[in-house]
Amino acid sequence: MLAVLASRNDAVARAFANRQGAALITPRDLSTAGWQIDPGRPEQSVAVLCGRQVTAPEIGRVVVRLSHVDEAEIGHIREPDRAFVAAEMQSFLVTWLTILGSRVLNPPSPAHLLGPIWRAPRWFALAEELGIRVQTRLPRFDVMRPVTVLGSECVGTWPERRAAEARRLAGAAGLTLSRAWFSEEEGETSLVGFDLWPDLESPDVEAAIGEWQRGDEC
Amino acid sequence: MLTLLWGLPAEDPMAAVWRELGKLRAPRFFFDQARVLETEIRDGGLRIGSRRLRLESVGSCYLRPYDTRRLPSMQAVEADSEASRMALQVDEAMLGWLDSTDARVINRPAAMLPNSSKPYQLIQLMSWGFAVPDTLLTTDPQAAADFWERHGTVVYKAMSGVRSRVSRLTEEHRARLQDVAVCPTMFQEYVPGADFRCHVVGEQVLTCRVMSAADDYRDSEKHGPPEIRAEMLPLDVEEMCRSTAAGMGLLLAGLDLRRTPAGQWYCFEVNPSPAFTYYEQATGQPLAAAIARLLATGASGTPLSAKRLH
Repeated sequence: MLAVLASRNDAVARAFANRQGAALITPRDLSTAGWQIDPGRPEQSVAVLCGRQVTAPEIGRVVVRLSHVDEAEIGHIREPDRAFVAAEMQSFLVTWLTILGSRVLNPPSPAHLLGPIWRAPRWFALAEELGIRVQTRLPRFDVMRPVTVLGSECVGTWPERRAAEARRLAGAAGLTLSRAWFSEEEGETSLVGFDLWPDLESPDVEAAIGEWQRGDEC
Repeated sequence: MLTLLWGLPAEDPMAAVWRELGKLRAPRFFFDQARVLETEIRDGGLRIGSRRLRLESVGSCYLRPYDTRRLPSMQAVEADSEASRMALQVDEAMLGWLDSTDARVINRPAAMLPNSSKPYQLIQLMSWGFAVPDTLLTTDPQAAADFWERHGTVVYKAMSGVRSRVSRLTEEHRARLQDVAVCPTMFQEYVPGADFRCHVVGEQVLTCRVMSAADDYRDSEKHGPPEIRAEMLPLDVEEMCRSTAAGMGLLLAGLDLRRTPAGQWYCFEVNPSPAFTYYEQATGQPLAAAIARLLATGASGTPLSAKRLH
């Protein structure tokens, strides 16, 4: 079973889940009886997907399109309690995604459901270490084009140098899915940004995720 | 090279480390978080009012920042104002620098994150060989009841970094177990035994025994303050604490341990920013001095790798 963790307001994630026949999970779904996690026996954990309890081995893959649980996601909780409940749900999801391991795109970091919560200086420092040209000033948006890397391959067709740099950066950071943003100005290609957001509107990315879900490298 | 402190000067741990750095005559600079509205970080420089510092001159940093939005100096500032945005940008700039600088940082923000999820940290502790209490995170009232039945005595506490007390389940809670369906709740088997707090400072390990009748000795309201005295750990447990802190990327850590009557050692939590002065005042253990030495000279410290990716 494929699952997508996203905001209840994420229409793109919802449409993707519908096309793929995947289970959509939103923070609101954690206010449902039946979830269980035993950190010492992860294989016995139980999720509630599409209204039924699903054991950990039954879950194929999870695509994460939510960085954290915001209070706005849980309007059904009394206002004075929302901050606490949001924090507890966040911690619960971090634990659940962690025990699912490599089945998650990307495995979370403790405070960020999408993966490592690196800030721009750290991404740029890593890129420079790898010999990738970096531009830290904000470029014109129309010259930025993101290269998605899933597994060890780029999604779509890209100039070899840009593809190689995106793959090297993703590999050095230990990520399954990432997007490297490049700017091309006056014949020079530079890295201008990096994020972990799965672009579910892209047919190429959707196809690549489908292959990843089936266990194929893209 | 100097040592940078980031936090509130009146806070006991910060004040203690500042004093000890002074005794060592170590060059030092205090970035008072309360003055965030007068602060700017730009082009590798930190400016607070008329004081300036080049970040490249910082050889080490000790930090205990609070949530900027909750500082008294920010209470009169509108949440969506330019001043508020600038203040949060200062935080972002500092956190970004702290995660990527070659300076010795106690502790890097990324290394402290596991503490925001207690069950995530339990998984880490198990991987480093510590025994941890049998734990259930659940929205299932029946599963919670079964867990309680199985273990007899059970405690519940918050999973996130939000501080909460550890409390035992009593018969008064039985009817309220239905409420777990609304919010995932963490239950743990109650592990009887003697409490210890172990502070790891670089390679140094300083431990104390904590004696209290409370389920959570930090809750002194009902049971009064605990009795705390310095004690040594068995060498293998001491080494496990040292390697756990190092494995988590922490140069300073406070580990909450419990030794059962049968002699088994459990670890409940690793605090990456321990309020160590509470224990120092009770035992006389020179924790602030050890932290200051680690910052100023690298003595008793674990050398940092040149670049940290995680």
